[in-house]
Amino acid sequence: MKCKTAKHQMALAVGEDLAPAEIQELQRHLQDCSNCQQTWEQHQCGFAVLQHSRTNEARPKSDSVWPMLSQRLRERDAGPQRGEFNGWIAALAVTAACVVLFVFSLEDSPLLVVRRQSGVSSGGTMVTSPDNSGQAVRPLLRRDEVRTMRSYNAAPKVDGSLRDPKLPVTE
Amino acid sequence: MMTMLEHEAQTDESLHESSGSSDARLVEAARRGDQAAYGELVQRYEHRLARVIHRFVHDMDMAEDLAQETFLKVYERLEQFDSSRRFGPWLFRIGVNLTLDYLRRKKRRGRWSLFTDRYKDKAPDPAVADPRKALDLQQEVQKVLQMIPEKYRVVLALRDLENFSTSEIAAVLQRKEATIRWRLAEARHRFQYYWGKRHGTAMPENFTPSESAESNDEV
Repeated sequence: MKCKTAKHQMALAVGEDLAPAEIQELQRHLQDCSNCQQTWEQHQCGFAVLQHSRTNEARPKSDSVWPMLSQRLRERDAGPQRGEFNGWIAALAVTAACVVLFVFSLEDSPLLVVRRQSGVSSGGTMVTSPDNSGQAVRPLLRRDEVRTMRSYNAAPKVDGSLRDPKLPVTE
Repeated sequence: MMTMLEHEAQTDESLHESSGSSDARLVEAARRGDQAAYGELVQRYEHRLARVIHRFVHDMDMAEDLAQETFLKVYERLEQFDSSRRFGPWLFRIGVNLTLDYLRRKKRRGRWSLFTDRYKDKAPDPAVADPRKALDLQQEVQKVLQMIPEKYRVVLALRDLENFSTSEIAAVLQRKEATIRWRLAEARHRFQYYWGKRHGTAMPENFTPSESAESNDEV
């Protein structure tokens, strides 16, 4: 056995944390190594100091923490369930966010197109025919479609004359 | 030396399997809302837990407060407890971790207080030759223990001061038993070294704490 291994095993042997077979091997090494014998004696002194210090154990001041603890547990059970409360807040926030998202997504939804085609304005621009008979006879156009039409009307015709830039538009 | 299990058989505060089945029944009852069952568990372990915590905080009032916090935390986490395992090591794991967290926070606050005027050092009293002489053996041991890194100190305190077995420490700290044995040997070496330095009986063969201790301990 090398001295390095012996020192590791001495630290365990001093507290009876070494297997019997290892103890025998260590004892054989100690018989032949005076340096390790000295180390062994010092380990025994150090361990004795630790063991002596644990005899002066502090005693708990109170008989039991249970009376105070049980009161805290009762208060905890009687009070609002913080975890559930926070869960409700989170659920409400997510629901509200979903509703808002849904409302804004309606602008381009197929549902809105159907409503537009039936002549119901929903914040968009309603374009009627030039004869303006009071009824919505043409499909509704969005603002970008209106702009496209205006630029088309402003462009010169092949014969050089301008198309009528004004198209009756009702906002 | 009397092992922990023998010791606990006498003190009836064991982490051993003998009380495990009864613990399991009490845990099940507590999970169903039976506070009296939980009270029985608390009374079974509270003094031992407070003693273990006291090994680290050295203040019995604080140790009892931390023990109470531990039991409160354990109650809140009862649903997470694996019934196939022993309750004792699980309880002590939570208690030791809570205590070490408290000590780390306290240490950080202590560092911060160095930059404030709240805790000014007192001038040494010339009438007192050496304040260390006034300290008893236990305080001296505590001072030496504080010089040992936490991961070794915890193992040393649980094994040599609280008489836990190495397998129990392994269960409490969730490490392999071989790791615990390695740390225990290193902790005893370091205690011996620092004790010798303070009291003039240092080891003769140029012993220093293992340089490779940080890297080799995860066996």
